[in-house]
Amino acid sequence: MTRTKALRAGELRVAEAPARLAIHGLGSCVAVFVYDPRARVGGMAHILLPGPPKGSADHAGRYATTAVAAVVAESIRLGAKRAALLAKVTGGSRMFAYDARKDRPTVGDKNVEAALGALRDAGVEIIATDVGGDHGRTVVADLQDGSLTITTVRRGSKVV
Amino acid sequence: MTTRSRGRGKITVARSRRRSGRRAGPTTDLKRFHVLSEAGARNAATALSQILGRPLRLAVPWARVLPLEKVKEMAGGASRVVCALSLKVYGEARGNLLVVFRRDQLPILLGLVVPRTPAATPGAGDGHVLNEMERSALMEIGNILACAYLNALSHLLGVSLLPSIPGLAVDMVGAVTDHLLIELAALADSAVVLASQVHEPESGLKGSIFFLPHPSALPVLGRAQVRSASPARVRPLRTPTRGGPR
Repeated sequence: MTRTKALRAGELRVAEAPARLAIHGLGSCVAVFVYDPRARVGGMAHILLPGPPKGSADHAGRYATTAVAAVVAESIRLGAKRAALLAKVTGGSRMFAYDARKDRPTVGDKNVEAALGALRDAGVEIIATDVGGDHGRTVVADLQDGSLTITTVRRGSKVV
Repeated sequence: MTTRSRGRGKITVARSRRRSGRRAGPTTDLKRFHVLSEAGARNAATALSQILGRPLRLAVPWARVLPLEKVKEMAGGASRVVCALSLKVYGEARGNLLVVFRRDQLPILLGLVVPRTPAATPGAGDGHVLNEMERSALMEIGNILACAYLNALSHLLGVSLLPSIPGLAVDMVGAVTDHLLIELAALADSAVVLASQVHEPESGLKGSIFFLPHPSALPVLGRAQVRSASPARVRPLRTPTRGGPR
């Protein structure tokens, strides 16, 4: 039986094959999955906000900037090679129409932007994104093959 | 525990369990929040009861302090699919209101409020294809519940509270509660949650109302008892005169 670990909001976790990491019901939050396909280790972060408030060093997993850095560092500690790390990013929806001020980025957009930026800063290649929209996602990352399965309520599911 | 024999507009309140929260603030505050939770939900249930023309039961109002990461579990777990109406609360006690119906209950709810919904249309009412009429009916329900809820709180607190227009989503609990967490995450590690469930025994309709006050609103909510000690003193919306349905 393959072990699947569900991540709560603000949590980050690393694992090695054959484990799976899952986030159920991702809305405006963002999931960042990084893995090393050869070592078959990696990790996922369930990010709430782009960056930490000033002077706060707590809850690295909540913020895109700190969570990405932490999940990369933890993956390397578990045996991943930095240069081999690949990333997949999903989430960042706008769930309710009332916060649709089209001219302004939503918190989901900002989360995605911050996560992508942090990955670039960390030198991790981003090979897949499935972001935005107005729907929730359940995501399951499989360390065995590096796949990220995204399931939605109305739009079926896909593997990236 | 059915209340079939009761008239419309009547609310029965199930014995409330008062659960004290983990920490975060003195228990007395939680008791006050509990009073507010019950008063708000009672008023909302009365309003819904009148719209539906059916008696409603109000179940276990509670007020708790939940660690942020547990908030998603409050409405049945992150992956459960629900119909959620989300409203921002403005005024002297800011916060967020969330009204949640399980997706499988949507046809029941829509059947009660949009009598001519053709149930035979494939996918109708299950959230896949909500038509304009259904969306607007659901949003109106959200609006009415929120206004009734906030009216009771306003009354108890002596402050003015206004709801935004509702946002509607049929999606996973986790997804429709993300914005609540995001709003709080930069400020706190825990959330004060006021919640209650309404239940219409005949159709089996169940809905939940959650109020998550902004941390800045907590001192305002803590004043609850200054004005009134008992939820029984909140006068519900006037019960309609009995008569034919509709």
